[in-house]
Amino acid sequence: MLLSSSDLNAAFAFAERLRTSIETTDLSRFATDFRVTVSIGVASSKFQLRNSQEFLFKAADKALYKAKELGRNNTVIYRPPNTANPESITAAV
Amino acid sequence: MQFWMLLPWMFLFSIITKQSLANEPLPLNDYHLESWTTKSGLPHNSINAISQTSDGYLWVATWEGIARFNGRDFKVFNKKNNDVFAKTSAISAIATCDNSNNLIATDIIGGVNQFKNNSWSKINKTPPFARALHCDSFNNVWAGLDSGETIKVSVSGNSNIFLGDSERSGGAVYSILGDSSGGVWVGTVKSAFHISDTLTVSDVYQQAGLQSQPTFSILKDTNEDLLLGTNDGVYRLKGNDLVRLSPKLAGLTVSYMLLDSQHSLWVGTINNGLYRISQLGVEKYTSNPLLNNRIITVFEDKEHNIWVGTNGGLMKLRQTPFSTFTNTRGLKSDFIRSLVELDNGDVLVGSSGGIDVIKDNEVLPFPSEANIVNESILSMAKGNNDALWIGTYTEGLTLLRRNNFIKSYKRVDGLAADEVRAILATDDKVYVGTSDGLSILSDSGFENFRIQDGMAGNFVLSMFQSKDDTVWIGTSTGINRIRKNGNLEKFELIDFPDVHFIFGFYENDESPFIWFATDAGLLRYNPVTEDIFQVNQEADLPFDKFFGIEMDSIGNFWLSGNQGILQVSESQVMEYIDGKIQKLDYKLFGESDGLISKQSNGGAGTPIVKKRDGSLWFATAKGVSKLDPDKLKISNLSGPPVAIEELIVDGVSMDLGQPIHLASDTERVEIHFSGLGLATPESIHLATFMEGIDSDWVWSTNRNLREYNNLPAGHYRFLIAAKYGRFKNEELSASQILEFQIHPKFWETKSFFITASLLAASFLYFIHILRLRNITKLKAKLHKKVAYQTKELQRQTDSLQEISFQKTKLLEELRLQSKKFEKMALEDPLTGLLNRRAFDAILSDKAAEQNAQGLCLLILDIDNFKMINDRFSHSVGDEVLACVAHALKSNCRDEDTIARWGGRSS
Repeated sequence: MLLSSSDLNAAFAFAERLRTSIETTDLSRFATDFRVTVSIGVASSKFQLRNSQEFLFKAADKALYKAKELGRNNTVIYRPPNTANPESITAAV
Repeated sequence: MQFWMLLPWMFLFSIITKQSLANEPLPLNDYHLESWTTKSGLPHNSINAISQTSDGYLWVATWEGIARFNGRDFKVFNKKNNDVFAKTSAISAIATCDNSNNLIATDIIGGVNQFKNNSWSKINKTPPFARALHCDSFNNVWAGLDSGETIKVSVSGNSNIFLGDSERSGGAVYSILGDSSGGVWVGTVKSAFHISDTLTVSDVYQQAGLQSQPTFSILKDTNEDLLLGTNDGVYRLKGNDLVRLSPKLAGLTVSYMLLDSQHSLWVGTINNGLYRISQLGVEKYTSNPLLNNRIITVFEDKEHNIWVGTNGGLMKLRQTPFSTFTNTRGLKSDFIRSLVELDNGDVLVGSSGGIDVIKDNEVLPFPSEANIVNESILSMAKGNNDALWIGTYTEGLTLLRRNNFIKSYKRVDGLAADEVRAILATDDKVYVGTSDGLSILSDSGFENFRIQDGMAGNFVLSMFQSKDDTVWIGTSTGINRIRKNGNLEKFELIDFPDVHFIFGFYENDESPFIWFATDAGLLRYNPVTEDIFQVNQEADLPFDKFFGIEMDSIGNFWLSGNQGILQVSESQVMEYIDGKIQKLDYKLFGESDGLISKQSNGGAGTPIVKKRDGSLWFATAKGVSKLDPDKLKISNLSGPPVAIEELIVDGVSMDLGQPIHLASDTERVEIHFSGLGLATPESIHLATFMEGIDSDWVWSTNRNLREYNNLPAGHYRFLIAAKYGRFKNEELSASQILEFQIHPKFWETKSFFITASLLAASFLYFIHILRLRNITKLKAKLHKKVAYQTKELQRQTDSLQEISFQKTKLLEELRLQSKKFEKMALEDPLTGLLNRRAFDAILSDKAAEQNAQGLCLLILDIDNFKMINDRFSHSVGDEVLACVAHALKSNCRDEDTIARWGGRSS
């Protein structure tokens, strides 16, 4: 979903609204305990200069993955990766 | 006594005419050496003589034939492919004649052969085995024989004049040098002689009242004094005095001498390698053991490469912008990681084998007793009070003071890890970057920082103190900085998700910017506005993983990487960032520029150092490479000459020495050509153009061949242009033209055309008469036919009108159908949302227009959707999808875009 003229805070609020709205949708006609939840990844292109299309997809996808990782039914905003991989540096040395 | 010791040196410097210091020759051991042997196409490894013809080819005489070199490969002429060498392929000597247009080669049994107009011929004969050969300005060939005789042979006639005899010359002639009046100087195994144009012979040594000496090489210096290469070094004959040129050469047997265009004297010895006497004194080439072989001949080509013929192959010495110190020049290891300039201008080299010092162009052992000298070094930094901090791969951190061991720190002493990749010593603290966090050493001991303490990553690669006293820390996952307040903070690169490794930092006094060398390009940070810009491969750079960053004294960035070293001007980078230019004009330096390996190192220590004298030093996987940016002009060679190597017409090689006429039934024309640059043949770019056939110049960098099939008859001009390095279109101009003619087929000739035209005209006249007679008959018949056909036409018109009506109806149906299809092509049929294709198109439009305000992309995925499908059914799954789509639609504003994107809806 592509939001025009939105900042990250607004996008987050919007995503949360969506998430709750889907979570509370009445689906009892299929089964009594039936509920559908969604995970949402959010990315903003605000400062990105080049390649924003690819960047957006990559970033939103990463955030979505994180949301899933956090136990689903979640909204996550893209943050740069935070884990080191010391092995990969040996190629550069 | 003192005077006598000085004298040789005085003469030594008088070899060199007044040259400015700016033209100072390159230190001999900085020359880049390349070598060729039988493995690379030479017919034999013993090189008897080297020469170059005016077309640009280099010629090499061997015992198994004569090889012509175009910079890439050798074409060998021998008994297998040429009748001239039918009796023997052993070529003992070569020389150029007629302003270097022709080549003369003598074979071991006395044949004098000439290569002229692209073919060999036997022009004369001498007794066997000429070792020395000279062609004078009257095109007489002088041959010095193993028997001791010197023979003058005329190229044009048959006259052979025999001079001297073995008794007098004392044995084999090794060297012949022409004088200005048609005579020659001859060096033999016993003495040196002058033979005048009137064939008067005199002994050079005896004339001066001196003892004769074996003389293997004779030259004239720029003062017209004779230089004599003997079995006891080099002497100069000044008047009647014989003066030793350099005491360093005493006792050495000189095999060959060459005075190069810079007036340096090259001296080859029988078993002691190659020497050079120049402004820089007497030097011996020790950079490569290949030149310890017997030196047979030395030659300077038009591009000032020095070619050396040895009994172990052909060598080329070239002045390159980079000069590389390796293991063979004394380094402990070739894998270099860190460089430091010491206060006295020496360069400290830290490698996988330990520490060395480069002082005045020479590798010396690091004068310290400490064990650290032989450890695998990762990083080095100078500190206060002559401190030298050294980081190792496995042995932690060591402090030396005035080269004495003071202390070493390991993990057990509180250091974050024993692998120390970067060190920064400030006035009161030492920052130590390790493979597992940052350690800060102060009077109160170590304080360690890892991810949980606010580090962007634990694997520290680089450190830097900027002029505002901020300490910058580059890790494998981002940047930290410590500002004056002493707090460690993360430096966010959220807008650059492709940047992970920060290998280096750069700033200068002239501009406010700080530059980061990263694995995804160069970043420019403005500390005032906090703007960051990225310069990567989109700027047309050949690669954008940069290990090291430095700037030379004329405003060029130097960026080192795995694919070589890039030079790009700072002002261009600024213009690119400002959007004024779309591409950066860079120079890429690699193996042909004197690097032994273009793979630069990084990720630890300081991979580039700029010395106070302006020189730049680079750590590579194969040694330390030094660049004097002032010497860069050496690589700006003018365009190399171009040669047509072969013209093959329907499988047959054509004689290029004659005007070329090709038969009318010619099918296939192959043109083989070559840029005859001997300096860096791999960097030659060629462009070709066949007038009237090619619509534009055609580039050939690798394949020096053009093919044409079924060319029509006519006159053809094939143009070739060549240049070192990349061409710009406006620089194109042909430096070689191949012309040839394809004859017309017999029906394309003029006489055939006239005969055929006359025949056709009379035939047409005959037909005309016949027709006139027929026409009258036909007229009556026609009248009848016209009436019938008018009726038929009316019937056809009616039926056509009916068809046209049906067609309009059908078209309208098709239009409605296609509108439906178009909608289907952009929509997901299940949810009624846009599909992926439509979404991508909209995103690409919006990304372009909405840049200022920014966009947000949400990817939404239904949790455990597969389970829903499995547990209920696919039709329930479809309904859930529709429900979610509905929820999305009802929460959305008009300006937002929703689509179902593949397996997911986003």
